[in-house]
Order: sequence, then C-alpha cells, then structure tokens
Amino acid sequence: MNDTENKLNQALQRLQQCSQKIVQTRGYTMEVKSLKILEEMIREQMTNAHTRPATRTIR
Amino acid sequence: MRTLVLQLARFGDIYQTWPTLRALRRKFPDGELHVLVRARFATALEGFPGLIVHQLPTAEILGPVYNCGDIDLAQQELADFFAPLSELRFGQIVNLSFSPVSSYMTDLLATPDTVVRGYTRHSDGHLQIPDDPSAYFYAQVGVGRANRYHVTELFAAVAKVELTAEDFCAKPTANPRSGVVVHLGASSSDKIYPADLWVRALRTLRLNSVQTITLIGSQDERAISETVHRQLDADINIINLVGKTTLPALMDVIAGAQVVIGSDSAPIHMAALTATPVLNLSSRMVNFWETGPLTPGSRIFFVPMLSDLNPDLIGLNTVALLRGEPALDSCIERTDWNGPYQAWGQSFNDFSWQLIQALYSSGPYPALETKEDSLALNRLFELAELALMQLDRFINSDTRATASKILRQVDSLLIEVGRLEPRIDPLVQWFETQRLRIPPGETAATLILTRSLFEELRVICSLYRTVGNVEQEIKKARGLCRECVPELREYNVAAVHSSFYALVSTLVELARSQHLQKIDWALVLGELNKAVENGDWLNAADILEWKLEPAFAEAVGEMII
Repeated sequence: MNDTENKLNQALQRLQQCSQKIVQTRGYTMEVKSLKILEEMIREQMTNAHTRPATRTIR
Repeated sequence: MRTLVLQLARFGDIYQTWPTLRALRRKFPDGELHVLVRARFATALEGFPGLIVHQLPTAEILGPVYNCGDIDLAQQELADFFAPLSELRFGQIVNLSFSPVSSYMTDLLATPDTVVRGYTRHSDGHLQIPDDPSAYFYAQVGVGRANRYHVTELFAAVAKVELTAEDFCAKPTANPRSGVVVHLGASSSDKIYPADLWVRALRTLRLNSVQTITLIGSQDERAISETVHRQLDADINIINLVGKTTLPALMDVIAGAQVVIGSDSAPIHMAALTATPVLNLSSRMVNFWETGPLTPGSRIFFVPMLSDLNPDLIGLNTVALLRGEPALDSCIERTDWNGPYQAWGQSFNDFSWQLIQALYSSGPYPALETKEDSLALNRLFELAELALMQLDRFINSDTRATASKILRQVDSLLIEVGRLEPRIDPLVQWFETQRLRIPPGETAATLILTRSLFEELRVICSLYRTVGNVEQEIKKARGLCRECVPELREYNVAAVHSSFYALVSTLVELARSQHLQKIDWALVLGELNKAVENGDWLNAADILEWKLEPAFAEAVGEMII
C-alpha cells in the first residue's frame, strides 16, 4: 500500500467512525450527510470509480 | 420550477443525458435548469444553451486529504461548495447518477418541498429509491445483465419526461456530409480494438474508394492513433485529429461525417445527437442494448471479444452502410431512434428479457426453456414459502430469534440461486430491490410489506411449479377456500390475507397442472384477479364458494373412486 492509499484509508476510517458516533447519538444529521459524501468520494477514488462508467458503479 | 439534474458520470453518460435535458427544458420552458457534473467532465455540456452548470471540484475537496490527511479542511471545502447550491432550494432534483455519493448529495440538497427523482436517502440514512425507473435501474441495468432498455430512455423515465425526435437534434448537421470518422480508442482497454486490426480495416475502406478518413480521440489515445497512422500506406488520406480537438469541435466533426466507426464510447453518443449513423464494434465488455448507438441506420457488430472481429468485414460493412446497402454479416440494427434494436442473424437470451418485461411491463411470463430454470424457480418458491412461515413465527417473541436467523439464511440463499442460475436472476434482483424500497417504519408495517413481497414472489414462482401430488394440492386449495370465504364475505381480508395469497398461488399451480380441465382457469383466475383489483371481496368469495370449491370436491371424489 503506498502513501496515498494509506492516507485515503486512514481518512476513510476516521470518517466512518465520526459518522457512526453522530448517528448513534444524534441520528442522521446534516453533518452526517456531508461526512457520508466525503466518505463516498474517497471510496470512489480507492475503487477507481473514475475509470468506469457510472452506470456500472457500486450500487 | 428550478430543477437540478445530477449527472456525475463520464463523458458518454453526459451526452446520453442531453435528450433528457432538452425534454426537461421543453417541459419547464420558464424554469431554471441546473446540472451538477464533475469538473473533469464538464466540457461535455459545452454547446448546450441556457444550462446553469455546477462543477463538482473533486480535486479541491479531496486535496487536503491527499496532501496531509486533513479531513476537517476537506469538510470545509465540501461545505463551501454545497452551501450556495443549498440556498437555491431546488423545486425538483433529478439524480441520474445511481451511485452512493450522488444519493447523499441529493439528500443534502433536497428541502422538504423538493420533488426528488432518483437515488436519495431515507430519514435514517438508508438508500431510498423513490421512483420505479430508478428501481429498475438498480435491479436490472449493467453489463452482463438482461436489460434491453437504453440508458437514454431510462434517464428520461427517471426525469419523468417524454423524449421526442427533436431532443436528439442537438446540432445542425452538415449538408452534404462527407467521409468516415473513426474513433480508435475507448475509455477502458477492454473496449479497444487492436491497432493492427484497425490498420487492416482502414486499408479495406481505402480499397473501396472511401476518400477521407478522420481519426478522432483524446490526448490519451494519441499512441494508438500514431501507431495506426504510421502503418497505413501513404496514399490513404488520413486526417489525424486525435488529441487536437475540443469536445464541441469534435461534435462538429461528427456532425459532418457520413459514418462514425467506434466502440462503446463518447463519440457514438455524440453521433446520436447529430443524426450520424454509427458502425459500432461491440463485445461482452459492454451492453449494447443499453449504451449502443441510437441514430437510425446504425449497425452494431457484436462478438464476445473485440479482437474476434474480422477487420476486413468492418471495412466492407462500412462501405455497405455508406451505400445504403444491407449489412454483409449478422448484426444488430437501429431502425428508429425510439424503436428497439433489431438483431439479424444473432440470438440473445430472450428468456431473461421476457421475464423482465413480465415483471415490469405486464408482459406474459416466458415459457420454461431449461431444466435448470425450472429447478431454480422451484427453489425460489420453496424459499418464499419458508420465509412466509418464518414471518409468522417472527410475531411471537419466543420464536423471533430463530425466525430471524432463518430469514437471514433465506436472504443469502435467494441471492445464491440467482447467482447460480443467471437466467432467472432478474426475478431475484427485482425482489431484492423491492425489499430494499420498503421504507423505515414500525416493525408491524415492515412485516406486512415484507410478507406481501414474499407472497408475490411465491405467486410468480408458482407459475413455473410442477404439481407433485395433485390430490394433496386440491385438498389444500379446498381447505383454503373454506377458510377464506366467510372472512371475505365480512370484508375481513386482513384475517385471511396470507391464506388467500397461498390459495392464489396454489390455484396458479393447479391451473398449470392440466388435471382439472373442467375448470376454465383463464376465466376463473381472470375474474378473481378483477375482484381483488376492485376490492370486490363478495365476488371473490362467490368465485371460491360456487365455482372452485364444488369443482375441487368433485375432483377429490373422482380421485378417491
């Protein structure tokens, strides 16, 4: 795993932890929505979603 | 109406969204039409007049994460981008992206008054698929699947607009058109035709008097274009524009061509907007039914692997297309912009497609073709029965834990049956998607909706079920009739809901078994269906009591004798 992948993985883990904590305490808030967007944007980078047409992305 | 369309896919999908955007403009002539695209692909909207384009700055938002792992700064960048969009308070959001990220974005930007079409999120954060076309997309669309609806049609259906021929006329075409435009590359390596075979195909074109061949493509495709160009004889008039045009300029080139040749990539979708016929090279790596060329007269040459395609035949078939002559080989042809593809000399998996049409468009259920299909459908029937039993046990707190465990097993087995027998997978995918669409709510309400879906699955599977012991099934049906009739007469349907649908499923099986020929099954089932649809439970009870039960009694009597 290279440095970039490491950073993305760490960021993803932190985002997941943050959103989980908020969901457990305050529910699905606006803050969770933006954390989830960020989380999914990172996930797309990691799965190279950009190289595949979106009609075939992870559902 | 202020509308936002999310299209976060690549160039090809953005061009396939143009007709929907034009139809939305027609539907809301005085409304604002906003589109959110990734900054990297925003040029695909250049040349579309009057749009308000918002570019998602992925690089800026994720920059802090890439540079120093700073999530807070990334969050700030994200908030800075979405705040002004939120302030626009869109009346309608149409999400044409079908991805998790787009569903969260839609949810973030929607107000309580916004009409949302396409993926979004429920109040508890779970995926919400509010409209049927998006549910269809979720369940059936993709490479290797049986879908035959074109994504352009599906985008329009999600946006709830009707497309017309004029929605495909984005550009006035050159008159007269001249020459052949060739796109050598594609967005991924598995969609690229080998360079040496391109050379042979283009030589055949030249030998058949095609005067001008223009190569098109992006900067990334310069290597293949130079390889091909170098190997061609000096007397072929090649114009190499690869890496030298902007997308709007490329659209002009395509609009002026007689034919575009290429695999499944953005230029063939641009050709659909300029009425330019396409000779499309297609393989299993794509699904031409859903992303093939749309210009009438276009032809698709489909092979398992692109390298299997004979280059001489590409050349000769291009010449035939130019001359308006029939194709020299089996191919798939587009005869009308909104008609289906016509397959000449090639056969495809019709069973799964007919199954899809039965599930979504009230088409007839297809006849069984293989023993494997029959086995798989029988397994699904049994799983549906098992699930219904467990749902009954779920109500009781003593048996809930075990029932829950078995239901989880049923879930994974359903998916496994679809995986092992892909021909019936559309049914499994339909079922799974409908289950996913059950909204968050009280356990009791969720149970009712889940039960209804399993009952529907059981009825569908019963269409294909062979009755093992007819006498036993008739007795079962008779017992269920007796149980249901008194309650139906009191309009107390809820009390016998599950027995009634078990009866329907048994009746469907008996109808197929050919044993009770005295009953006009088509008539009786039709009347019963109509009574259920109209909520006419008295009539339903009459049918059960006066038409079916006596016939069952007689049949059982005959068998005993």
